[in-house]
Amino acid sequence: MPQVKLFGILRRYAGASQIEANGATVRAALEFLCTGNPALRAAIWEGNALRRYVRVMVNGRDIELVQGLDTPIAPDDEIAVFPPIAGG
Amino acid sequence: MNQMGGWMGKILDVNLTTGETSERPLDMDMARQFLGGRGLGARMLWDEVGPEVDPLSPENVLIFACGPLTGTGYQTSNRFSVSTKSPLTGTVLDANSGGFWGMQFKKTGHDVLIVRGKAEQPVYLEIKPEGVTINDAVPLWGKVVSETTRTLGQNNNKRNVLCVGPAGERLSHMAAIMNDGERSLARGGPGAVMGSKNLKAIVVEGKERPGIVDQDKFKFMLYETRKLLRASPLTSQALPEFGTIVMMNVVNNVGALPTRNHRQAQFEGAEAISGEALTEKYLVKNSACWACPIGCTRVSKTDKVEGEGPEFETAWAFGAQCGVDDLAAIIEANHMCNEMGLDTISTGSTIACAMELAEMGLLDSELRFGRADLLVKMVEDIGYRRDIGAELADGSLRLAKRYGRPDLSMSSKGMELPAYDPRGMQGQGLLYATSNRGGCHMRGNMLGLEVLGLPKLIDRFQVQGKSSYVILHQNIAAVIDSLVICKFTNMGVAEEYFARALSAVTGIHYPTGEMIRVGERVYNLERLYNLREGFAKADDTLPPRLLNEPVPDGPSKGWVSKLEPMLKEYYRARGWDENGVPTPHKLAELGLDKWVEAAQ
Amino acid sequence: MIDERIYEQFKEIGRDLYEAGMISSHGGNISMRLGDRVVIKRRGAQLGRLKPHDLIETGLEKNDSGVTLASTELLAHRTIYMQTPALAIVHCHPRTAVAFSLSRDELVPIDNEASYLLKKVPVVAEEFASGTPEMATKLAAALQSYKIVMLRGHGSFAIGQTLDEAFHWSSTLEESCQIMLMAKLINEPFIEYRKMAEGYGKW
Repeated sequence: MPQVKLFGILRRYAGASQIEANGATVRAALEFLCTGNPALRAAIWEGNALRRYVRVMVNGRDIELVQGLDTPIAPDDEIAVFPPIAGG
Repeated sequence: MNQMGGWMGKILDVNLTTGETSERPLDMDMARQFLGGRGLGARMLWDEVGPEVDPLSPENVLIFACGPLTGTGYQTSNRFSVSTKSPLTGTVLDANSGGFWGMQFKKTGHDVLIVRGKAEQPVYLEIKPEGVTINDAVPLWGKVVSETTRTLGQNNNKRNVLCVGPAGERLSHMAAIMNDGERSLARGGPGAVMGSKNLKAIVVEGKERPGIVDQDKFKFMLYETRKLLRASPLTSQALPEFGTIVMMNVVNNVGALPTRNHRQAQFEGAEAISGEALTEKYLVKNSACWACPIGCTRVSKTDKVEGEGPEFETAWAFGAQCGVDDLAAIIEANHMCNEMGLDTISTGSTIACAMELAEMGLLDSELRFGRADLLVKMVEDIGYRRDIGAELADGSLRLAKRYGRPDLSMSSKGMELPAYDPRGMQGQGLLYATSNRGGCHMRGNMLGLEVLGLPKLIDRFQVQGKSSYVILHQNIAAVIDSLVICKFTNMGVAEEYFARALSAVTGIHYPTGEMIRVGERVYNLERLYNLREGFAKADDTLPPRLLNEPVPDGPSKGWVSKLEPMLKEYYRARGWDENGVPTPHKLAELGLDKWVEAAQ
Repeated sequence: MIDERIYEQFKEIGRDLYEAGMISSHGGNISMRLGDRVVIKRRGAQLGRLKPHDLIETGLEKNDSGVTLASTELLAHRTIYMQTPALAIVHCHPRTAVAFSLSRDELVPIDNEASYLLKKVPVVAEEFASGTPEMATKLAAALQSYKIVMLRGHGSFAIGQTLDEAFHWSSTLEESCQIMLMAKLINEPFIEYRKMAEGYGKW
């Protein structure tokens, strides 16, 4: 099953830093992840799109450069979800 | 209250050789063209310090400069800079710091302090409303930064201490100038210049306030800026909650985190030294500089030390770069750097270089990648130039050269590269190679565009067209460094706000584009300075490892830095010739006509 | 050779503009600055259906040989790149904004989003509102201070670091003008809900 790694404040909402998620696309996996967790859902989603500044990567590649939320995922893929963060 | 807006209109000049102090008016044409901070410092340095001057000789100067926004109360208007010729790189240098000292220095009624010459014995300066005195610092010489700061009576809002530690006293080329205890003017070794003048500290107390010409407009700008900073999750949540060290996991995730002296670009121990780990295990609270609503500073505690930091770059330099996944050791190494007065990026990366040399059997030392237990002692030895610390004290390039392997110094123009691997972020590589003070991420940063999607994600492996982004960010960084405010404000607030705040404060109309052009002007002048020093196209480069050794694994696997085509495009886009020399046309456009001859 | 990723950005924004009703079939133009080069739509192409051969790449200061196919507005784009920090330009014809530009010298939004993002949008006028050096210079001067300006009766010019940004300003402007129009139809006294709102008109 694909692993979803969560970072920053998302860990607090999810209660974990890594969760197994079901789905053939990023969208499906993230939907699965947020099931029953309104706080996490609010932090990641804005309607049907990703919240502004939230970044999702599959094996280190930002989904925006692949197929966005429709990016397909394989069973041994690693998805990383970052809340809005900044630094220098 | 000052009639003029923003600037105080005065330069304080201190000659440590003769003991003379004097004041003179600030050239307002120069101030309008270069604003303050880095810009004004570079402009003044051009006149003061030529190619014949050795950075550690009495003929070098230290130019501490505020900008027109410093001390006005605009968000983050606490910053200031020091300009000098760098002992580490030999280039023009400015280093930039926050805290409270800059605000207080402005209150003494000056925009600039220029320190020249060399005192016979260790001294410290005291600048108060009653006047300027040069005082005996022999009893302070040798003291670490915290003790010096305390002894001289540091009070954040009333009396502020800027000083060097043992590293600066012993002329380490990585020495920082520390202010308000744990803030630093760090990169490029300005601490060594200060130490070479036998100047231990500068204490400031002031009463004056900068003038604000259009009070109503300024109030409006304060309100709008406050709104924006609060609305942006970056400045209202991410930075205060997790600090800059929150970058560790994301940069590692994309495979752009240099590891073990850039041998790899991903670190298996990144999670253990991440912002999340710090918050969970060692964070006491966050903290802020003067007039800053963001509060990105960490205060962290282990069972041995408590203090400010670590920042992302520090945690990287002593962490991934050294193959160390022990966050407590990193916090303690950071603390020791602050006490010694050392730049954490250069120090950590120089230790990493030593680790590689030792592993290869070239350097006789027990240093090895992963030896967290040796970090603190190594930093202290560097500060005191003891044992092998003496060999590391002047940076990785001199160290590596000594052992016949200059290619193992991960530096550009002698300055150690920061925490983003150019092979995984192509634009960042171009940025480092063309930075006027050497390999540095604070002169523009492609992190936003290439990783975080701020304002939009541009593919980090894309090469075509990258130069225009790099140039824009370099220009913007240069003007932010001249205003002087904090670049984190720019994460929530666009440049057009700064331009309007500047216009409101000074009463001089700066359209946004004109303000950014100040940045371009500063950038070009710095370039000319370096050309005069003998730097050339060949110096706009990166370590051979990054140009030739593909990343061995991770998301950036197989990549090298494609610097050459980007650099060609960069020169053209900057309006420079194919050797990277600003053309007369470009110089005229920037009002730098008088420098046309210098550029030939 | 224009990098595929760059073409994708043009295609996406071009289509968004058309679908938002902000351009006619062949109107408007968008461009990007890449280093010292400009990429722009060729004359006669449709922004809503861009193909790779619809994009022209040429010099920043003067045309490459054989470049006669670039848009008539290339001069304006070039001037803007040389005189402002713009890296991308979106020029479109947002109909409500254009209608408002006929009777005023500046558009001052009343809705929340545009007050926040734009504050004020100046209207620039020029006799031959297409392709003249005078127009180009006036536009560039205005874009030194504002990220989007209107050309009276013609359309908007927006600048940004990316096409995305410039489109964002354009779309926000049009939305805000539609709201202003509806408020005029509703015709009831405006209840000021923003603090320090006088500052917007003086932006």
